[in-house]
Amino acid sequence: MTVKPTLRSTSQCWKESIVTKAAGWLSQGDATRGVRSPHFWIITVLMIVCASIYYVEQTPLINIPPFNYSFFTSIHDLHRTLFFIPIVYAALVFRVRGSLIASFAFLCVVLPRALLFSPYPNPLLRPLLFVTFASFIGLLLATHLNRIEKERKTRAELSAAYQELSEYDRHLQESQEQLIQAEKLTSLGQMAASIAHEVNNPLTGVLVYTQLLTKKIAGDNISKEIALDYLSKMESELTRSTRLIRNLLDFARQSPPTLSSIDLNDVINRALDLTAHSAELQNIEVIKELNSSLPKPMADFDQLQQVCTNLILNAVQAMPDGGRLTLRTMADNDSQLKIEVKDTGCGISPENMRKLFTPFFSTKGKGVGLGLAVAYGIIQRHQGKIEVQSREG
Amino acid sequence: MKKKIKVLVVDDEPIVRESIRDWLKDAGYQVATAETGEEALEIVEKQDFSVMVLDLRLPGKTGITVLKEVKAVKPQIKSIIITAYPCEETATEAMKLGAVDYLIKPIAPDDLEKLVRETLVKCESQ
Repeated sequence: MTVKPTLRSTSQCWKESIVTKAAGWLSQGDATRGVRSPHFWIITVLMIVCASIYYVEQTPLINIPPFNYSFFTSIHDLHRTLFFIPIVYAALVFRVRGSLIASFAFLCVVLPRALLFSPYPNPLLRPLLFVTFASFIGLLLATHLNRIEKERKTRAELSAAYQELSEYDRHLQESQEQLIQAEKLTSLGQMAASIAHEVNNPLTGVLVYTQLLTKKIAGDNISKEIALDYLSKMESELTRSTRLIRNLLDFARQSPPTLSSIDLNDVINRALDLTAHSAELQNIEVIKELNSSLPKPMADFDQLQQVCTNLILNAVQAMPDGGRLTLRTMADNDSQLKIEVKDTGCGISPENMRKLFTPFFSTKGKGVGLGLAVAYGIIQRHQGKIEVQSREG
Repeated sequence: MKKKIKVLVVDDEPIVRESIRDWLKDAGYQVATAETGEEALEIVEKQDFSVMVLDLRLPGKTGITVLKEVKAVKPQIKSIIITAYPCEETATEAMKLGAVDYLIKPIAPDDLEKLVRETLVKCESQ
């Protein structure tokens, strides 16, 4: 199992604006530091400078240099507009709280001048409008920055989570590979054990009977019947070893199928002929539900027969105390042909289900564990699918 | 004239069981066979044996378990292990459990016979 989350790189779908950059270098940390932040004092100084410029007209200073220079008077013309600098600054650093306090300070600065020195008939209107406007801009900026910062934080968290996930994925893949290696070694061990078992046992018999025959013939105390019995036992054990080797070769060779138009029902019937004896022996009822109007696919008759024989033998061996074997052929709507082999045996445990088609895996005690592996290979080479459904018990 | 000494052969493979039985019978022993560990334990409880020839890979109870249980019931029975697939761990374990020796299949029958004979001689001298 692999976990592969697909996340687009966030930096691509994100256009870095100047405001975003500002939010970057003015970290949220300053907002919580208040008066301990140098920005607070810079803003305070800026506010005082702006206020001084604002009120310079009302002082005698306006008539002496440098305040009477034309450069200064043009700055003075900026008037209330200058206050935008500390207000925006405060909004940038201290966000909502900062912009509100700065706007309030601005109000405190403009009110006395409006009330005491204004030559206009409605002196409060213009400064109040200005303060409202300035605080609005400050708040807008502050909330926007907050939002950007939140998004940036979420993005960082997301990216950290993604990193973590990729790390997990890598670990998972590594352990999976180790597991595959370990399983390969295990199945190699199983293979060695199976072959050793399947070859060494018959060889023991052959060796013992050969020496027994030799000894008895030398001592001239053996009847013809006993000698023939020994020889026939030896022969059947040698045949067994030969069969193992042939199975192994079949499995290793995996020859490509020789295709011809075949009838799947014939395949089933032929496979059944070969296995009927063992089914009969075990009191197994065989039910055939063969669809006679099946299309004739291009396939290798012998190979498919081998698949069916293996499946039927497995089914028979799963029902040592009798049962029912159902063989079914059918055609799907999407021109798929199906062969179904069903038994009423003990079922397969979920743990074994995974290893079912692994070569040399066997739960039967007897047998090499090649039957299903061979069947799987043949069906694969026919571009078919082999599926298992089982309920234990 | 050799006294009939009883040997039990435990192996799930009929050919191994039968061939060893035939060989040992010909050598003058009285031989009983068992296909599984469970069957072997049943026979051991009912009858006395001097030697047990035991396969390690058995359906149901493994050879090692059978070895342990037989030792608990009849400690005087000497066991000779036979296996088609030798493995160090089981060999060590079997020897620890008091097995006389460990033979690897295919077994040369005269080797087995010799081992049985030696085991019995050792038993008598003790």
